[in-house]
Amino acid sequence: MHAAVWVREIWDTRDLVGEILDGSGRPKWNEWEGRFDPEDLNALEMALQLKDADSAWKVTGLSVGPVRKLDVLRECLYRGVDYAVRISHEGQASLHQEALWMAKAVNQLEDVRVVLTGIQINEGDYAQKGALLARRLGWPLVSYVEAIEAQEGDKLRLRRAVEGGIQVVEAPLPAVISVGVALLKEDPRAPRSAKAKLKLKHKKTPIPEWHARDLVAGENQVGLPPVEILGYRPLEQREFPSQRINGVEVSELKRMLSELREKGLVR
Amino acid sequence: MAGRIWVYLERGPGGILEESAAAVSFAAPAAQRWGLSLEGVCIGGSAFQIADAALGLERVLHLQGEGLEDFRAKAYGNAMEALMGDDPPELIVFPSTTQGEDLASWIGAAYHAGVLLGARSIKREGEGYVASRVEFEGKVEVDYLLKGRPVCITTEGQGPEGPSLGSTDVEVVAIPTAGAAEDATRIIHSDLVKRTVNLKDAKVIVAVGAGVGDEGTFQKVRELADLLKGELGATRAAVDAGWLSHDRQIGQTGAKVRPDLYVACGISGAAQHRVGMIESGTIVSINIDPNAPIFRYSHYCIEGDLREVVPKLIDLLKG
Repeated sequence: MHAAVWVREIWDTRDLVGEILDGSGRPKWNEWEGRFDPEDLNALEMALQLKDADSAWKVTGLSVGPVRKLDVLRECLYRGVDYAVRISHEGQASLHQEALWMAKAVNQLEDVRVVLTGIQINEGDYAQKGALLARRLGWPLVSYVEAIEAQEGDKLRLRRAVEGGIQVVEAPLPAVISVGVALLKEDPRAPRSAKAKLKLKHKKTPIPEWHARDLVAGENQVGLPPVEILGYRPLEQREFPSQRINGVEVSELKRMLSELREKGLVR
Repeated sequence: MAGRIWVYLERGPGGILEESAAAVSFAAPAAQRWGLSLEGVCIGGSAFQIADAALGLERVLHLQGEGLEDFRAKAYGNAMEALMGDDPPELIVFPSTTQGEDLASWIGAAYHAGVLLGARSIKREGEGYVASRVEFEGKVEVDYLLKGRPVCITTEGQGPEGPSLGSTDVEVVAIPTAGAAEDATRIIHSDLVKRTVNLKDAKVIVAVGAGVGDEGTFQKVRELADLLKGELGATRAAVDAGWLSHDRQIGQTGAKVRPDLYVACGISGAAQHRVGMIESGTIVSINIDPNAPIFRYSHYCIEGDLREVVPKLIDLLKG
């Protein structure tokens, strides 16, 4: 039994301060750090927990494209995946193309019963990668999965977040699972850290590369990417004239409340 | 038939979702401008439910068949594909919901057509569409060229008229569909809260993050909300941790609110939460971390432990 995890390196665009765009109107990508897509990391943890519970599972990390700043596949090895495979290609790739190559790669791996991936839509990502992949594979898709509750034979019982609550779904395998979960550090589903022992072991482990061209050889090629970014425009930002208040000082809290009263916000 | 726009009419516990009605109002002016017909597509459920949604649509295609009662991505995706065959509409507008995102991406992959989740505007350009989306935590708007057919977008936007729900005599065309059986995914159990609280109209909201920590502090926050005559709200993590129900969640997968006063208790201010509350009139934040991102978006930044600050505020308000 094989679980594949589609992981990506994304730019760390959290809490950016200052100008986002450079003089030519493009995002300053190269000034930012790389980051393991946090939902992909949650997906990886789910796959590793399947293996923790039943050693018949093998886990493979898959990613498309070269390393920019952080090698997410090596990070997968440091956390305990059995194999990692990089899909290489020339030039830019759209998410549609990535999903197609990923589907081909999944078919080349032996006995993949489930593919897990994060649900996050990053800057420049225009669709859900799990849904694109599921359609390419022709497999059922369960998205916004928060937890794998149980494995019963060739089925997984999954808990997913939907508008207004949760749903428990039984997914027959093979299936694609898109993971979307808000986690606290102490949550048992929170991603494990890299292990020192595995870091030593896998620091130089070669990661095989499969070329996209070979994966789609002999197949009907899909056409040009159907999505293209035309341009970026800065949006006017709301100003927040703010004051710091020391929460220990009752007088400061009192002053704040009287200001709020003057504005009619507190009666 | 050429020249059509479809809107996906998603069913919820109380009929067609308001988000779908909003998507119709978003698509209607565009359809009119471009001389395209506007049709709804609904999967499963009863025709009565659909007819009850006055949506300004020319007609509604209602896919019916075994196994279509509950949403399952592959079953619904296959059903829509079967309906479109090799003559899909030019554009399909989906609401920005978990279903809408699944289906827009699924159909985009099936037809190798452009997809954009979370579009804010759309215009026609040559053979394609240009849709924009707000990115980088609200700092930049990005234009995407979407090609192929059907272009699929989800949107939270709405037209100038806004969503309208109510009785209508829209023509509903029943279309029997098979193929749902190919998706053996099964819903075992749903625990859905019907919205009982309308956070969108609240004047004051007091929201908690998972940092609320313990029951005693949570009860104090509740008391503060009562004294301010406000509604309680929560981050997704706080809902996940069981402090409040899903209908009180604010943020990307919850409600987008704009009260006159927003009090954030122990909320760090992750982007996912921020998009739901950043348009509030006056924002007061209480956080123990002086560097919490929420302070960059607050008018009053109270540095301190919730367990100490909230009781002090309560005393002051009572006094």
